[in-house]
Amino acid sequence: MKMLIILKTCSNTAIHLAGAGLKRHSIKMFCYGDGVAVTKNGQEPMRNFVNTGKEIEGLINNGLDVVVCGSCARARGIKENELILGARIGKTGKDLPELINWADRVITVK
Amino acid sequence: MVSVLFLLFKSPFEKNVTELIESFECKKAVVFFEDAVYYKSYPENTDVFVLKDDAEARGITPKGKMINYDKVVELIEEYDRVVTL
Repeated sequence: MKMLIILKTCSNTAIHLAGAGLKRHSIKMFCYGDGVAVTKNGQEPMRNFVNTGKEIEGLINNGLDVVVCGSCARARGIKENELILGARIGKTGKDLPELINWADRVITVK
Repeated sequence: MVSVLFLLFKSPFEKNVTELIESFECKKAVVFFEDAVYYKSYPENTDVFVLKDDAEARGITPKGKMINYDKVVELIEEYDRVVTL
């Protein structure tokens, strides 16, 4: 089954869900709004907090496809070369509809 | 008939959608994540699941069935539509 996870906020839940889904399914993630921050590289979280960039990089190595809304990233001062390895910039108006068409299930995490 | 899986993330004190879910006349289930584990009143005629990690992190012992992420993925497969409220 093909699943799209739409991420609108910095959410550990979405990351865990993607990890569980990847065991048996094809998973893509679209990050927009404040959700783009999970794909920023060079995060230095406090002790007991999660480095979402590292977590998602691990999932990308296991087959997760991550698309980041370019406008949302630029609005927050995040440039393409500041994203984690493997995450790619996309356009909400173009890529999101294509991803929704691709998916059998769409899961929004907000 | 279409079956619907509802995913809830917000506390019932912030947004309570119990009645909205009850208004759906179909096979349905709900999964409580994050602060939604604080729901005490569950929608009627609905299967209720609670993410174990989030309940335990908040010291909650819910009435609903506690599940892990693998089970959430199974539910997403099982139901025709997935709706986040």
